[in-house]
This record gives sequence, structure tokens and C-alpha cells, in this order.
Amino acid sequence: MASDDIIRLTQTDGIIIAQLLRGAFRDENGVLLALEKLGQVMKGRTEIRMVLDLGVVEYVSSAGLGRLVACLKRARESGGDLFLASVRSEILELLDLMKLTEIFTVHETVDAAKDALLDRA
Amino acid sequence: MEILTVAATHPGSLLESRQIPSDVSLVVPLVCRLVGRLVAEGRVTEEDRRKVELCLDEAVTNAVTHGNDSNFEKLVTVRLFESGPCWGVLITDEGEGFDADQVPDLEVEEQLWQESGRGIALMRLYMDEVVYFDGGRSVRMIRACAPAPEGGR
Repeated sequence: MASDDIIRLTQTDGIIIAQLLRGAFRDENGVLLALEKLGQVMKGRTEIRMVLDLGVVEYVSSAGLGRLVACLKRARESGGDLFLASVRSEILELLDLMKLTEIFTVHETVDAAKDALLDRA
Repeated sequence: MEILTVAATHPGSLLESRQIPSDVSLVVPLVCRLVGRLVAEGRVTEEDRRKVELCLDEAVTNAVTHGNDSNFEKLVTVRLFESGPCWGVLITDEGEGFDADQVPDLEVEEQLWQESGRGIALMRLYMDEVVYFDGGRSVRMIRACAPAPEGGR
């Protein structure tokens, strides 16, 4: 699958692993572009099962949260799901305060998220 | 959310005033500069740096993109001030203001799936006061200074 310097995409056991490669405040645009690109990759696919690895992401603005929600919607509408993995504590706190943990499933590691998606199959 | 129609004012004394053209690429450098100053002066802890960067980023980005419609000819003015045990920031654009009814109520469950409209809610999370003036052309945010470390600053 496609990779560049802002996002790495791999596929294993039918599950797409999307790893964001930038995530500092000064790289906010990199996060937004990566999520935008992810949305494009998801377009037209059916039954998308995806793990989004946010391990390096230490800053997410409202625009970033909006793009995360857009990706989740696209995965669910395709008949699949998207799980978040390796989310830093400050980002998890933000998701929680914004009540987004009510719609996102968050796992501690990529492997745990992948296993949970495989269990659903 | 209430938007006051009166002109914006800030209490206390001015620390710094900056103006940028409405170009979103200028927002992060400005926010880094201002928050860097607040951290260096001990008004914001290193631990809270990211939260304050988030609030300023959201407010200035709103002014640039929504207020001034990213029109490079229009300016965004950012005034940093101190007032007693607090610091604050007053951000003013040259746009048309906005209607409070356009801002989604994120307390409602159906709104969780909204793909935009979370900026003001984020600002309210981490600032002690967020007030809009002048029909929405100015926003004033205030936050208590970090407590002085033991042994003084």
C-alpha cells in the first residue's frame, strides 16, 4: 500500500494499518494532510477494517478531530470499522473531554486493535 | 453561547500586541512565540503548554479562516495581557462576526458525528473564560496563571 513521509499504510490479514508519521504542534498540517489522504484511500472501498496508529501524535486541533470523525464515519458506512491505537494520554484526555470516546474504540497497542478487529470477522 | 454586541476590551495591562495577515501558515509561529513567552515567564507550566497552544491555535485560526475568510488583506490582531493573578488574550478579526446559533451544541449525542464546529468547545475546555464581543469579531480568553513554584519564581 502507499506510504510517504506523513503516513505509512500496510495491510495484513485484511486489516489496513495506518500509521501517522508526524504529530508535533509545528507539524499540525502534516497530521491534517495525513488524515485527508487516509480519507481518500478509504473512498470507494467496502468493509474497511482499519487500525489508526496515533503513537507519534501529540497535538490534534478541532480540524484534526473532525477528520478523525470523517474517517470513522467512512469506515462504518463501508460496513467495517476503524479502531484507534497507541493514543497518547493527552490526546486520549481530549477525546474523552470531547465525548469522542463514545464513538471511537481505542486500544493500547496496534496488535490489540488488530486482534479485536480479527475477532469481529 | 452568548455573543456580546459591545466592543471588546481587556482588563489589566497589555504585555504584547501582534498583527498577522490572514494566512493560516502564520498562525503556528505566532502561537509558538506567545505561548513560549507565557511558559518562560512562568504563567503557563510546561505541562499545560499544549493545552494553551491548542486554545490559541483554535482562536487565531478561527479569526483567520472564518472571520477574515483567509483574505490576506485583512488582519488579525492578538493582544496578550495580564490582569491580577490571570493572563489573557484578546483576538480580533476584520470579518462580519458570526451567529451563535451556527455553533453546534456538542452536548447533544447526534452532534458527536459532526466533522467541524469543535473549536470553541476546545477553547472552553482549557481556558477559564471565553467571551465573544462585537458580534463575534473579537474573542477574549482568560486563564489563571500557574502557581509559583516553591521557593519563588
